[in-house]
Amino acid sequence: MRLDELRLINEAKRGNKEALTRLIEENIDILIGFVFKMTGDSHLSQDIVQETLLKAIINLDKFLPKAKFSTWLIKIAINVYRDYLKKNKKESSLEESLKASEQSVEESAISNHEYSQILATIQSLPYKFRVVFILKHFYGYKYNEIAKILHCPVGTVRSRLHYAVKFLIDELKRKGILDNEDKKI
Amino acid sequence: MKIKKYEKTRNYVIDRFYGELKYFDIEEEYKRQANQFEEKLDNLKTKLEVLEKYGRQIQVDVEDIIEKGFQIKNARRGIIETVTFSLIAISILTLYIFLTNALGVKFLVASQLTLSILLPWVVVLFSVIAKRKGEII
Repeated sequence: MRLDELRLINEAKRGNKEALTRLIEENIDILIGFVFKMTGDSHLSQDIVQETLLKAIINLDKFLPKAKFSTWLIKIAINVYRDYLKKNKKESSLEESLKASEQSVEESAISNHEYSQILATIQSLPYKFRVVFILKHFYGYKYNEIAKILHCPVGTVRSRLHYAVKFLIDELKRKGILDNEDKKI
Repeated sequence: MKIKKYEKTRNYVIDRFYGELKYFDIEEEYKRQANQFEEKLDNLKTKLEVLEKYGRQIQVDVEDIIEKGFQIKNARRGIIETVTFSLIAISILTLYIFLTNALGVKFLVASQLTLSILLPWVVVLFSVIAKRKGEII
C-alpha cells in the first residue's frame, strides 16, 4: 500500500472529510469500472457504487490497511451486488440473464455493436465465474488474492477462471467476434 | 483420455497467460493446439480492451454520499451512547437498591451524605481538567 494512501486512510478514520473525499476520488474509477463490468447496466451500477461507498464510509473504522483500499471497495461491491442478486433472483436462468443484459446494453444507447455483444457475453456468464474472470482479467489479481476476496479455495478460483475463459472464447466465436479476428490473422 | 489431456493443456495455457504459471511441459502432439489456443487468448484480450474505452458514464456525487455516511454514523453513535448511558444508569440504581436492601437504611443515609460532600469536589476537579484540555486544544 502506498504511503500516501495510508496517510489518507488514517486521516479519514479521524473524521477528516477532505481526506476521505480524496481517498474515494482516487479509487472510484476502479470501483465503477468493476461494477459496470459485473452488471453491464449503468443505472444498476450507479446504485451499487453508491451503496458500496456508503457502506465503506460507515465501516471505515473496521478497514485494516493490509490490502489496498480499492480491493476493500471491490470486496464490499461484490457483497452488495450478491445481495442484490439474491433479492432480485436475477440468476434464475442463464438465458434470462443474457436477455436482460442485452436489453440493458441496448438501453444504455451505446452504439458500438461489438462492445454490446462482448458486454452481453460477459453478463451471460453466471455470477461466480464472471466475478473471478473480471478480477483476474481486468484487475490482475492473483489466484490467492481472489480466493481471499471471495472466501473460496484457490483451486475453485482456478477452475472457475478456466471455465469462464473457455466459455467466453466459445461464445464470442459463436457470435462471430473472435472468428473475424482469426480470419484477419 | 486425449480430450482430458487437451483440456489440461488448455488450462495450463490459461494459467501461463495470466501469469500464474511460468513454465510447463507440453507434449509434442498438443503443442500446435496450445499455440492456437494462446492466440485465441491474445485475441480475446484485444477484443476485451473495448470495455475499458466505454462505460464510464456513471455519475456519483461523492460529497453527497460522504455527508449521508457521516449522518448515519453520527445517528448510530448517538443510539449507542444513549443505550450505554441507560445501561450504566440502570446498573448503578439496581446496585444501590440491592445494597440498601442488604445493608439497611444506614447505608442509604451514609452514602447520601458521602455523595453530597464528595460530589461538588469531583465536579470542580472535572471542570479544571476540562478547562486545561480546552486550553491545550
